[in-house]
Amino acid sequence: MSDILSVEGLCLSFGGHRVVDNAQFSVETGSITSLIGPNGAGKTTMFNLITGLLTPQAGDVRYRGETLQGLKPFQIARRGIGRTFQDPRVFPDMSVLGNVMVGLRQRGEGPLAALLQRRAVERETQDVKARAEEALDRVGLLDRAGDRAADLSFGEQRFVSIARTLIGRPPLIMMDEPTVGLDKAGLGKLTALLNDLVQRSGTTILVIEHNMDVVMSMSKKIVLLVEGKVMASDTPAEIRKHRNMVEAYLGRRHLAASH
Amino acid sequence: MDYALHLLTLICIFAVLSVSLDLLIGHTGILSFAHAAFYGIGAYATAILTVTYGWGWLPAMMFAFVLGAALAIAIGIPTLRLGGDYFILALFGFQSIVISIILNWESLTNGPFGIRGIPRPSVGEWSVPSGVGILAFCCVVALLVFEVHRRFNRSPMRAVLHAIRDDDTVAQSLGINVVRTRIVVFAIGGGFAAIAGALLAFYFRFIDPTSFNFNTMILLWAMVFIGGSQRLLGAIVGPAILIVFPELFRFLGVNGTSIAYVQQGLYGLLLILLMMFRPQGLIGTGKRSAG
Repeated sequence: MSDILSVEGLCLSFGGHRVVDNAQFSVETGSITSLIGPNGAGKTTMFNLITGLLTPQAGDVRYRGETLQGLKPFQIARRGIGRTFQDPRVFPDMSVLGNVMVGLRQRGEGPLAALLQRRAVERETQDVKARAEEALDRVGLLDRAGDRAADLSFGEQRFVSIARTLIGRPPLIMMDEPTVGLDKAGLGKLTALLNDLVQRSGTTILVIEHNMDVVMSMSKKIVLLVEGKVMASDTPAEIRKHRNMVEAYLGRRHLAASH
Repeated sequence: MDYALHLLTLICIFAVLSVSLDLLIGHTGILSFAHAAFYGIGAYATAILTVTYGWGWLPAMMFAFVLGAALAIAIGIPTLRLGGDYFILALFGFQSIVISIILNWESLTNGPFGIRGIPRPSVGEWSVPSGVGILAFCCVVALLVFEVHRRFNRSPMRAVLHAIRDDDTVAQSLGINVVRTRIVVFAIGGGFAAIAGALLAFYFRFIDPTSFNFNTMILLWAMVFIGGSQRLLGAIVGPAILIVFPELFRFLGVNGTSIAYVQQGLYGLLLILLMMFRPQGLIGTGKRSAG
């Protein structure tokens, strides 16, 4: 399989401190790749660099062979890279359905279309609503569609944020610590969803994750990031062989959890 | 009767301002401290074009809208990229510059003396009469603005604006062009404020800089906060309260100068009470800005 995303020599410094240091790795199309590393390793910064929220001082990010350099975050999203954040960051006063619907761009959100093309906008909105319901069904929250997003539990809000990304059917979804705040049932639901996305929809997932059980069981590739440097980029089986490195950087607990 | 019509006409004009400011503050989280400036730009553009250059009322009013929107785009492009605090300061600066130009470019604006003799809207030989006539004219224009606002509110545009207001980083990651959307909304708000300025010019047939100063800006903010955001009725109730209440003091024998002080005190008192007991305003539904 070809690579959908490649990170090539990315560098970023904040006030003389190297946060990302010549980082290089690739993400294979239709697979799950996990980005792991200790706190402060630069994992979220790496996500921000890929999605255009930060601009690298050197290096390049290529998506489907084309550079993302110079593109704004919304342009990168429109190319087909979806993203969720460490916190669910739902729009609290909107309904669950409204939160998901806002994830899909449509003509009626422009002022001229809103004023002059009401029928076409209404038809389009019905289509978007159907897509949103489909996305909510996929994350098991269709029965909460009419609820205010702020009234949902943290774990449910997490799935709303995932559905908000799913509605756009992006070929690549980047998730920043999606298991945080999920109970055991939620964790099972999430891993099943991610595997289903890859196997049934051909979606590629790049995930930042601390839960080594999840990482080792579902990843095709693991990228270990330490102090902004890519220390290893390999299959879970190979990463396990770097026992000393994983133990040193992630702690014995994670190694134990992986067995 | 004339007095009641006067108050209703003012409410109508300020409702247009309130709706347009709420589109910025309540829906999009754009904390605009320059709305009074766009109001003044519309009033002066209308007055200058009709009095000095002899334009008809409709082209003058349309030009006022375009000028308000164009200046909003011109000021919005550099400032809306700035963070919240810097944006607010930049708009304070813009407000000061506009008032300064109005006061000092005397050959165009007649400085502090203002512009008199602004013609009423007319069709052929017939001019819109005082009283009910000008009230009806202002109501028709206000209804058009309300209808635009209603259509925005019923379209997916509403959710996009709220997404930008609540979390612009997430909005960008969903493919929303945040900067362009903010600039477009700022332009619409600026254009509508200019339309309200044109209505003021047509109503009083005289304008001077005192109508567009910082006090007016504070009054507009108070109207939005007291009426409540995100609902059309709130945009009418806010101006109605702040225009009608101080006038009641006239009947208690308070003179005109003192009424201005009463008005200021009333804003403060109402705002404190509302923030304590009903932060969403009397009619409003949701949050006001991303902060």
